[in-house]
Amino acid sequence: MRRKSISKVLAAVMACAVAVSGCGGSGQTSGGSSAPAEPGATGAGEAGTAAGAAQEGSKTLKIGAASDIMTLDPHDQNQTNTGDLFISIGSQLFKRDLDFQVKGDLCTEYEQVDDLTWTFKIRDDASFSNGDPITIEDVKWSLDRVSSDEGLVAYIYFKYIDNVEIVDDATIKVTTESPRPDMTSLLCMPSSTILPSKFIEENGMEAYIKEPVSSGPYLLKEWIPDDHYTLTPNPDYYGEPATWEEVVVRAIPESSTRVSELLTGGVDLIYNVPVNEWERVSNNTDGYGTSLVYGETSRIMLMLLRMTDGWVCQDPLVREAIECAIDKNAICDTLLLGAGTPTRSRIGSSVVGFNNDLFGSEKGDMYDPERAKELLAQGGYSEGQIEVNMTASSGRYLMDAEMAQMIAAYLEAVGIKVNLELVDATVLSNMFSAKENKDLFLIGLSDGQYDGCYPLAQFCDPIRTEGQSDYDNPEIVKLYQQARVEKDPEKRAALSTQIQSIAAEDRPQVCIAQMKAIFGVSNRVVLNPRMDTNILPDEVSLAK
Amino acid sequence: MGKYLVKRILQMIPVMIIITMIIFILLNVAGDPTVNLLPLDATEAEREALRTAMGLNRPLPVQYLDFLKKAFTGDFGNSYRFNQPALQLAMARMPMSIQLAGAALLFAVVMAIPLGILSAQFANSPFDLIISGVSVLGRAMPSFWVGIMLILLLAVNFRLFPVSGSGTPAHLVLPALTLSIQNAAQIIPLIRSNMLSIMHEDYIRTARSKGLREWGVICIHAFKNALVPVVTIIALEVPGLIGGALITETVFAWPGLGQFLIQAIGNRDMSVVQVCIFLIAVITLVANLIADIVYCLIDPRIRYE
Amino acid sequence: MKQETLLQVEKLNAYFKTEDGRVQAVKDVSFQVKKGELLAIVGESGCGKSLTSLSIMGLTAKNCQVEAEGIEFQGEDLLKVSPRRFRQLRGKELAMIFQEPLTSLNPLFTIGYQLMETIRLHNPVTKKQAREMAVEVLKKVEIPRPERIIMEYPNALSGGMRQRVMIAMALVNKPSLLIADEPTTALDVTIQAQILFLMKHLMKEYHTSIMFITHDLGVVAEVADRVMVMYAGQVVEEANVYDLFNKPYHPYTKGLMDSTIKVDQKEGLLATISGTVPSLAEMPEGCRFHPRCPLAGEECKKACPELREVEPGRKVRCIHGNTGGKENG
Repeated sequence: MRRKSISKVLAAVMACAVAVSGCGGSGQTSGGSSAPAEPGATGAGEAGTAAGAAQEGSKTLKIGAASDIMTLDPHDQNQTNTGDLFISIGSQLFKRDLDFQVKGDLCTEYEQVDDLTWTFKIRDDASFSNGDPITIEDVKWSLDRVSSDEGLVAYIYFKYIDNVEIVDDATIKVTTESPRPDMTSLLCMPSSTILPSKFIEENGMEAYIKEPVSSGPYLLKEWIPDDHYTLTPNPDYYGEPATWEEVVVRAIPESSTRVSELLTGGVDLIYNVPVNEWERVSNNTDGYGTSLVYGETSRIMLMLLRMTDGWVCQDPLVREAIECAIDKNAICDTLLLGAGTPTRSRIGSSVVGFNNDLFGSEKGDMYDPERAKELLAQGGYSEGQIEVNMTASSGRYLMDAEMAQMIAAYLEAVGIKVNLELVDATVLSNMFSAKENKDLFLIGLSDGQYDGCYPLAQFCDPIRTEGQSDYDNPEIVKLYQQARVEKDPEKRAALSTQIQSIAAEDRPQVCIAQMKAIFGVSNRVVLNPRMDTNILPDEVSLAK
Repeated sequence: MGKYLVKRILQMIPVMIIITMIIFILLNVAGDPTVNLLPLDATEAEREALRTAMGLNRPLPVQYLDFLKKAFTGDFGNSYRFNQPALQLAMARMPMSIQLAGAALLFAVVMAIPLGILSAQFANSPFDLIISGVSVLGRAMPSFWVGIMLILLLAVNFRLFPVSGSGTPAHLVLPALTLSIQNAAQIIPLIRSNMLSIMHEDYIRTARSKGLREWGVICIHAFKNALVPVVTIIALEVPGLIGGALITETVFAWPGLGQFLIQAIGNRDMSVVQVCIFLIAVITLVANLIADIVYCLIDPRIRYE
Repeated sequence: MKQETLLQVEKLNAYFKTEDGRVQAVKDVSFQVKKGELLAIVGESGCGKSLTSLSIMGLTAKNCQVEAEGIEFQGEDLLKVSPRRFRQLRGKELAMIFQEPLTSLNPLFTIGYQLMETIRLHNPVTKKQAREMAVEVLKKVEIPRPERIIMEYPNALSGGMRQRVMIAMALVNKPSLLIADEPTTALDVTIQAQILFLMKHLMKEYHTSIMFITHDLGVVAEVADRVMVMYAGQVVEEANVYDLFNKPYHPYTKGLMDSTIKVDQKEGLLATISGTVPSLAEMPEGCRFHPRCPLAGEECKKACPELREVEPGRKVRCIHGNTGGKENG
């Protein structure tokens, strides 16, 4: 009797497991999907139907991302990945085009009235996907929110906005606390997306997050968290119509799996192909074949030097010796296999104010080990007398641990003793924000706004440098304050260039290389990489 | 038996409370969520503002008691990332984890039982040695390696299955297989040794003396006895398959509870981490209880007072 | 009245394969069991009596090799029948019960299941009919409330009850021959008496012959018709029970009987047989008993005596023949 009931229970459990697995539907989402997922409708990874007949000219673009989007609230994030979504489904006052120029999106005209005041005019034909027009009230509401709600992640970028005033149906006046000449860059950011205030005030923010109302070229058809999201064209979009019938962005955290999906045609495009997979991707001729595509980024791998009193790097001779000891070309060619370009500046090559004299295999590199030794001797240091503590991450940036080891070897070769400490990515971030960097600190820093002033703050603004590099050059600080308020973009660029030259000689940091982004792309499509490494579907096209 | 059940369930409560306390303390020691939420060059003042807005500046005991109070009503707070109740979000992931766990268990059992029985029947033969060797390998191979190898072999090379993701039964095969290999590798030697010792028992001789076919003796009389410890092992595997499958879930981009937890840890999404670990703890305790009950139901010699 | 021979065993040998080579455990054992009789096989532990019975049933271990000139059961040579036929015989015509009732039943199946299993293996009956037969046979072995016991697991029954169930299981298909391997050794004395009585009673009712293995002479006296004494893997004496107890011929048999304490024993020291049973690997040359035998002479060391029929119905393996013993009081 007992035996029978056990068998029945076991049979029931087995049947359940089989039935549940047979159902096949991806789990229901309680956050952010506008329609329940249908089994098989996700379009991702059909068994066996690799790149080939089934996708001949298919107008579905599949992208493999390393992580899923953070949230559906654009004001509460600042991640590239998540930002891509809001550029596709939302409107901002400005957007950057493929050449990285700031162009008006919602904004038709603007004027910088004075140092602290701007006016923006918006277009009248824009609407949300629920039918509501995009009004000036929406703009005010959204800017007010992101500039005053301290609980939002993007608040720190927009808190400089003091007041937003509606002038008329199509115009707002924005005043800032302090001069912000980079205002238009700021308003390109996805975290400044204009939200439907009427909808949210009637239904609450939670309702918006469950069913985001779009105004961009695409609509969000569904979002299965940690799995994928799907975009379909927005028929009511006021700008250029969407080029794809469907865009699916899948979250695939494991890099080898992402590459495997690319190779089998499960996705058309992936970002950040790890070094050990480069060959696999370039040599693949299955189906359409795949290739590697390189793009510039604004990420600079650099070593922060602690110039604080009593520390070894206080001596400019030591700092210069360190830079001369490192063969940046070798690092870029042999270690990064071309995925980096030597540089002596914190500012990347597509950013306003970029200093061409500090970039490239010739000008960006100062490799001269003999000179390094001379400098040390000049400073009265005997071989092995100088000992530095170097910190670097392992696995956070491309070949970061290896780069650190190479640098350490170069330094050792000129007689500087190096104690290298490799730490986890989170630990590195923590140390950086807590200003716990030691003599040498290898980190990759980029630029969210692509306007030279912002990253300059890191080594020019005394608030930043105090306790970190302790770099204190009154001249550079003065120039920086000037640049920050300079309205004329050309003058601002010139100031930035000048600042970079000074910093390159003072060396509060030794910049190593400007990193490239490496995309893996199916030959079915053509990708023109953007400098901000955003992947916008309409900038990917079908190969002819 | 009923009294025993009630006693066990009541015992679960203090265990859960201690677990939540430990999670809470560990999370708070582990780091500051604002580090990941804000860009690296945010100032300390900016971080402080965000922390205050998130309520992270209140004294720890206050935060903990607040959490505990709400937890009793099922309110584990909202996820920072999704701005939705953490418990609902975690529960929404459960079906995927259960699918995977169920399939993995099924594969493991289907593989392990015949191989275990056959190994015992042909003990010390070349077949047995091969199976033993394979079992050791199965236990030694880390799951991410197995997963990646299966992808390379069966999905990329031979295009038999999709690489990753979910949506069709075919998507379930490779991740379930990955998980099941380690389980099966543990169960096979257990079945084998149980069967070997059981085959010498007196009641086996009795069964044979009745004229029962040898396979009837093995599969009916011997196997049921061998099964008892195996069933408890299987029940104890379940929590690991649900909450601990995160490596396999990551490799196969399978949107289950494990991946959800890992993402939340990386993002310092406290509410989600707490609720996930809480759920896993509940599953573990329940699985233990079920294991004891099943043991008791199968073997009439076991009785709990 | 000449009784029909049910089982004829001719020169049975059994060997074990060990690391040290092949070891012989049973040597040239020959005997018969007649219809309607109870043959007792007596001997110390390790003399090969259990192995003999297992060999007949075909239940020896994998590393045990059985050879014989013939094992004839009801006209069939058990050494030559197909495994399928042997399985048909086992449990139907040939049944066996074992020494340890506590472990001889599968603890995870009900009594009813285990009984019905053997019933349905050998009889084309429905479940319901099998159940009725099971209840019937439990009544026969005097188990109270059999309808309830059917649903119980073995751990709910005492040793004596379980042995009754074993007997029921063995007899339900009305076998011609029941081999009982020390069925009462593990039970206490009062239960023992009941079981023995039951078995003798059922023998008559089911017309079953019994081959009863024991080391207890008291039991032999109780139940046996004929007795076979084994020592070190060989048969050393065979006689009907009265003759054996009255006047044992083989010195070993005599020694066994002397070692049994009698009620009116007055002497202080217990009689023993000096020495120990030899191990299988180190059998003595010549007569296997001679190192321990009070009558041993030079000829005894030279050759192992044959089992000779010294009188009708009496066989002895001793050169001293019927002079070995003296009258027992």
